Amino acid sequence: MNTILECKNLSKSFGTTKALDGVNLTIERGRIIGLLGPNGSGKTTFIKICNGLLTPTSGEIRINGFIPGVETKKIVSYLPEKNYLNDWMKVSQIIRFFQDFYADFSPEKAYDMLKRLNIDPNSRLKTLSKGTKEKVQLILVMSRAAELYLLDEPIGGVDPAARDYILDTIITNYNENAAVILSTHLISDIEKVLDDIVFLKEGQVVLNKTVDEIRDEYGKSVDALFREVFKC
Amino acid sequence: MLAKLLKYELKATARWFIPLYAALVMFTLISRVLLHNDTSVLQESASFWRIAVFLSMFIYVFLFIGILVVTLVVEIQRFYKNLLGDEGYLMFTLPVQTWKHIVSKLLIAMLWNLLSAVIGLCSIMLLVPAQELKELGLLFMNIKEYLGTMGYFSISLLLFTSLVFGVIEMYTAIALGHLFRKHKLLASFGMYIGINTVAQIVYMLIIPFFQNNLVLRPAPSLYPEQLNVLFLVSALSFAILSAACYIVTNIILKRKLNLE
Repeated sequence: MNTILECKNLSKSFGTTKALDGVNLTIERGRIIGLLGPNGSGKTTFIKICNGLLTPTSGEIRINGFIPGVETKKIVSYLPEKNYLNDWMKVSQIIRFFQDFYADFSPEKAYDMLKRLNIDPNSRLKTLSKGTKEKVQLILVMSRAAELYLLDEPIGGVDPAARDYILDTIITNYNENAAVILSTHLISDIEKVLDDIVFLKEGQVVLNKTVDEIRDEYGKSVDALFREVFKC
Repeated sequence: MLAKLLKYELKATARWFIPLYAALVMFTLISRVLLHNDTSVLQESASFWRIAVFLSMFIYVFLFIGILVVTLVVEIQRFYKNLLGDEGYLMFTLPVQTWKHIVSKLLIAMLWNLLSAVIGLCSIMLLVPAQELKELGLLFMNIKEYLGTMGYFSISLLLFTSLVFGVIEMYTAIALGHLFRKHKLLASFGMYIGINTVAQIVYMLIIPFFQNNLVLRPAPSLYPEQLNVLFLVSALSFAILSAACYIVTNIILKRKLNLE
């Protein structure tokens, strides 16, 4: 089975506003997908539905054939756009926490990345800066051998140097069996790592192509195309 | 996985309770020493001792109330913040069934409730004069005399079920409040009042089924057996209500979860 994620006519409304409006999408394993769109286009809503944190209003989503639940959570590694770490644990304790709950988590990998990014495993999460917390979250998420990575704004709050390291980590973690979905609006920074592009606009998929197709058909970079499609 | 959730829930809450319990035990002992010595020492340096007694008692009462408040606040906060706040993003993406989250929170909250009650009682017993303590002991003896061994059973069952209900009804109120788009906290508070109203009605509905055991005899006061039955029926209603609350909470968190 090569499809890791499939959604049909997926919609989500908050009151009268439609955050997602009839999204049909199929994601194959072995790809890195950029989920791109302006603020409020439904990127985060989509990723949260994939994780079972939001319940869709209508339509269906299946990950590896399952609707979001225990089976999908075992194979999905999720980086939320907000800080979900409690403040009372030490970095080493949260690593232990992940190790306890995720069978595919590698503490060696996590400690290795902490060292690379100069984060002390003994520091309390409370004392870390916002950017460092984001790095810790990303380290936790990328230390899993998951089948689907859902990264919501993974590089938004970190400095450019760490940004490069993080993108490197994502690429090196990439394997034939796993897919990575990245949501961001910092397109130029991540363009080089992407295979496929999905443009979301007002809750609808307006474009779903490979990066090569975009370069061939439009003769421009993803960043340039984005500026054109979403011109204000 | 339930065991692991319990472990982390215990760790996350213990850092509130252990220091408070330790402080209460310490001030119980200090107050006890001061109180039981005062008659002999009062004459020598009265004002100093009086201030010391007053201070230690003041801190003791402060800690006692503190424990009651913290027990309640932590119970609510662990459910509201850890599951339905930002930390919920982590908790609900763990490969764990929803019911295990509820049960782990419930069991640990019950544990702290029990421990707070036991430690509170013990500290009071250390402070009240021995004579009055004897009367308290007599009360326990009376339970056996009046209600029989059955009395211990029915009273324990009633305490246990009411404890379960006391915790789970808050979870349900918070979960129901979470269904609202706006003013979730206010809605939760309203739901709490609503659940208690429903609980009263259920209780009223259940009692008639046991009328034969309860009011047939022209009783000047309740007979022991009647009292036992009343306790057991109340325990039964708490059990039914708790089960209903648990089911509702589980359905909401499983099928209607919307973390925003």
